[in-house]
Amino acid sequence: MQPRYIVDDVVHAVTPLRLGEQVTLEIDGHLLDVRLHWQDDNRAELIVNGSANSLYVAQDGKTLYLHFAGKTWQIESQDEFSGAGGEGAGAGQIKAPMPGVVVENSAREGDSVEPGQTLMLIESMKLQTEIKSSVAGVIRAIGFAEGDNFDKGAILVDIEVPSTESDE
Amino acid sequence: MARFNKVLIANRGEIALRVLRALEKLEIPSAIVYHESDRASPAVRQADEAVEITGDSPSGAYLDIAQIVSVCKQLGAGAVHPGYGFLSENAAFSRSLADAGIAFIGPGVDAIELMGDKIRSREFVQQHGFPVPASIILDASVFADGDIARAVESVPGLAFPLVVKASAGGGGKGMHIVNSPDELESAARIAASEAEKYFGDARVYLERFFPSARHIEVQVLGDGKNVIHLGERECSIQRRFQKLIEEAPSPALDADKRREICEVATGIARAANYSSAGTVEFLYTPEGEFFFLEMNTRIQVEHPVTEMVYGVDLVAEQIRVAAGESLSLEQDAMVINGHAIECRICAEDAFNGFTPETGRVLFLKEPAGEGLRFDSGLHIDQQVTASFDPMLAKLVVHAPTREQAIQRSIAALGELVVLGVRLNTEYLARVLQHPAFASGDTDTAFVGVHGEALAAAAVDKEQLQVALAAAYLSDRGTRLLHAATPEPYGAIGHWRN
Repeated sequence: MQPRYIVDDVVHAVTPLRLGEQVTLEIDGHLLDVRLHWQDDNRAELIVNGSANSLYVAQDGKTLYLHFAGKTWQIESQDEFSGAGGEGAGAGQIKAPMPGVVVENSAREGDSVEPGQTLMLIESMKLQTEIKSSVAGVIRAIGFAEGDNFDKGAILVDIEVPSTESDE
Repeated sequence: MARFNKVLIANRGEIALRVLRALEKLEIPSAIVYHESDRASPAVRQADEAVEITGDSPSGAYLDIAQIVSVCKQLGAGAVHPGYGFLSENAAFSRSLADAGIAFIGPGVDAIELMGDKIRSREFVQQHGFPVPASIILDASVFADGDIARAVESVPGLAFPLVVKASAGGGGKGMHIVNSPDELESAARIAASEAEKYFGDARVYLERFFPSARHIEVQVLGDGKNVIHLGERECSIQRRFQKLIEEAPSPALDADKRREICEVATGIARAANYSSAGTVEFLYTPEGEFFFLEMNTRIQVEHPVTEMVYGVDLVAEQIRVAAGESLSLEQDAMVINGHAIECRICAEDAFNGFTPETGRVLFLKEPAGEGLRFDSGLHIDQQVTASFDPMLAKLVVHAPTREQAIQRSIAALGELVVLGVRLNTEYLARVLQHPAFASGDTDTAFVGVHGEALAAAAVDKEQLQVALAAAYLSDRGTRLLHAATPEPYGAIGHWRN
């Protein structure tokens, strides 16, 4: 298994060459001698090539949140099986561009939709935005009911695109 | 001494906690209403009494006048502090409380109604001889005439660019900039229809827009007999007409100009028989002219910068005045000391269009130190959602000079650790580090004009490697793997086949 981490949409391989109290890692072609001393569940001292950093860490599933040297990092550990780049799935999935609330659902599951057709009215930052279909297909699922809150990246509408038109 | 038996806080987040601190200082029993999603918040846990309220949406609960008045009666609270936002400038709320014999901690209902109507308030200010920007009210006759551009031309001093504003708006809501005559007709109609939809009041007006003016506002405090001012704040650093960084005093004003603008502000407040804390907002042009924008009849988000440079407690003063006491402060004793800067800490992706971010607070370490104040409603396990405003906390720094306040603010932004939701702290530091900010060369176009310089910095390669090493070593997934790896194999690098 090759551990990989994603920072700002870029995938980086982190390869352990030597484990133990002193760890040697190969990161993006560079060798780093590192040591980590935990102080409590969220604090550690990280020594990299001899110099120490105070580190704050929290983990939520596959997402790691780090803070050191005055900067916060959000790093995703990559699932072995997810792979980079989509595998055809997601072509008809409309994801939320930002968190918000559903004002109105104008389509229903099973409906046939055309490109440009309005599917949903959402409200975010006191602004209302129409969510439109970019593909032709049949609605497999509507992600949220009217009045529901959703997070950024949530799947608002899942549209089944006929395979002849899919770029699989 | 007149005092309230109990004060109910009708708000949430950092301002609820701020009001609670003032009540504790004045030794007044406290109560708070809360939506279920705020149950674990510090203000709810620390108030003497807390009552859950419900709504169609979380913010709907905090806007439910009947429910909040009923909780006041149930608890026997003699007064309500509304904070800012929600019901803080709602005349109907103030009236409902008065009908139930409960005091509203804020100005009288007449002042709320006068200043809440932007067309009426600017006419009021003009009638009293104070400066307002050239403007025209777009009433039905102007629309019917069909030629708004000609109507605009007939007003002396009114020239493009213009800004169309909703009379019932304010604080940046319902505003659109119009750059040329051909955009005018449709911008005006859209603004009127939006104003009808959001505020139930279609009245809009056109005002001269100053693209490179500063936003300067004056803090006033009245008790119904006397009005004093507590100097100005500059709030030019804005995005989407919403403030991001505020400071006191403004680097743009000399002593004469300060006196002039503060006297206009107190003049306006006196003319309105103003009681409680209020803010008179002005546009200040590069030519040194200033114009009345609007008056906010509440405690402002950015009130702490004024409190720090004048050494006063504005919320405590609001509470005392509402209980019928006279101001405890005298104008002559109000002497400015040093400089204060406030940064609004928001859950947003500032480097990508300031879009709101959500998440759960997993770890929190607040900055602390001399001259530093962190007003926050943050707590561990807090779910940050899109239901409320993205502002989570305010970092306020007070120092002897502006330069020192800037440096300490930058350091403190780096000391704040919030893990689990993306914040705008790095962006705020970028603004504070910008040479134009350092030299006090700020106006309301700052964020846009310096957009490129304020874009996300390229990731430092060495820092990235440290971050990746830290991620690998702290990742629970790999830690489990390490624990399960027999030592002799550890040195071989068994992931390499």
